[in-house]
Amino acid sequence: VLNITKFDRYSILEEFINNGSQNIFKCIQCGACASVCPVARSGYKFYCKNIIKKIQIGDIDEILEDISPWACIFCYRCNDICPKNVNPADVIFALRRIQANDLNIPTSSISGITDLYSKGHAIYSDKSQQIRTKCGLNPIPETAINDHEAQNEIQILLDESPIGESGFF
Amino acid sequence: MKKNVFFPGCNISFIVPEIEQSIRKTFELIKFDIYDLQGASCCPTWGTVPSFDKNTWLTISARNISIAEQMNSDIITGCNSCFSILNKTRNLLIDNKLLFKEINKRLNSINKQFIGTSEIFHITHILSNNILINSIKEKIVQNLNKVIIAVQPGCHLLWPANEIKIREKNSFFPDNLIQLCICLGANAPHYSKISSCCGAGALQNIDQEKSFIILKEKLLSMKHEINPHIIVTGCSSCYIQLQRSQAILRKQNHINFEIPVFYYTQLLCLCMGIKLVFLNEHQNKFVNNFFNI
Repeated sequence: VLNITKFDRYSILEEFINNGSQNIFKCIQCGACASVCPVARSGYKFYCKNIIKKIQIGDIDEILEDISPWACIFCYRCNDICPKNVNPADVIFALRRIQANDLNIPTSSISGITDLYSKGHAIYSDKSQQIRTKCGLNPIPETAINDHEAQNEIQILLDESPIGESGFF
Repeated sequence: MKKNVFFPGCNISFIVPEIEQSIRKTFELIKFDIYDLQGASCCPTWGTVPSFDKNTWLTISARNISIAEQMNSDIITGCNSCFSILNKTRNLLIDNKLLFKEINKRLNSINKQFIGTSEIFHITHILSNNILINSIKEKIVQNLNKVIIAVQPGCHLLWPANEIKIREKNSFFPDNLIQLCICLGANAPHYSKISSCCGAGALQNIDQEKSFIILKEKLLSMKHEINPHIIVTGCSSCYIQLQRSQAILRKQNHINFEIPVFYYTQLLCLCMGIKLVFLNEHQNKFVNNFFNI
């Protein structure tokens, strides 16, 4: 049984329409999006086309529990090629945010936002100082990693956001 | 006059700084001034904040853009993901007054403001400029006329096409990076999987085996159709994926070759006679075979 903390089924549909795509019910399953989708090509179970159909018929339990939506790289090929302006990438975004709200999130994304919170960068490596020095660069770049005020600003923005309320930090 | 700031992003700063080295040396050599974006954070990349909350994503991206705006600068990225995130943010905020107002309300709490004056470019957009191309051609000391290159433009420089200012005529038949390689004297033919994804990022993080399916397709398309000496990309994620995962595919006997991978400005520096200190074994082998310097 799904444990959807904040959304009931009706509000999930509303979320798909409001934060995903106004045109989700205009999809005619032509398959143009799937024909150019790297997620589909790689053999993931769910991708733009079949996710949209599942939402249209209200059969959403399986897609809410599946990890496939987190494989999307947001290349936006699907939005460009869709003849009905469904904007499939935005549907995937909405789906991910609903999953995130239910804490159905891959670990790489959790470490990404906790590192963003603590360092100002979602990706960081301890080895970087050594390589940067060899390349003749500042060992530490002049970005948020080296700027406490910048880190503090990022923390304020994240603390004040719905993500801050989820208890990740 | 508007200045230009360099937005290095996380991967270039911390995982593959050799790209930053070549970008800075390139700008130095062609006398193109770039400034640092002091206090810039992660863009933040697609799999992080944008996947959790739209307005928080837009606020953190807009904060990065607002620093450039305070410096009266456009932003130049070397990473396709950073380019796409910042460009998408700018377009969404300029097109939607309600969002513009809401994001500025949030930015106000850290005394920052998004106006919309800074444009977002990728380094290959900047180098494609006619004046710079001529300046590059003048400085080339090593012509690559015996070299065949497979170019890898990367997804986020191709789509969404109508949101990219310096765009391809046809994103499925990209030409910008080909032209940049041709100006070094090289031959950079089209191959059938030229616009396909390399499998990096989320695809790789969620299931490496699955991401290898499309990477292998791409590499075989290059090898069988044009048999290139090297792969050249303008995307730091593609650079990491094509280099590291190609080595894994070979080790696992999925392929029996390994094509050296260069970031475009690395190759450009070498052609302009600059010695780069941080080349790997495959890159060095190519340099020793084709360069007289």
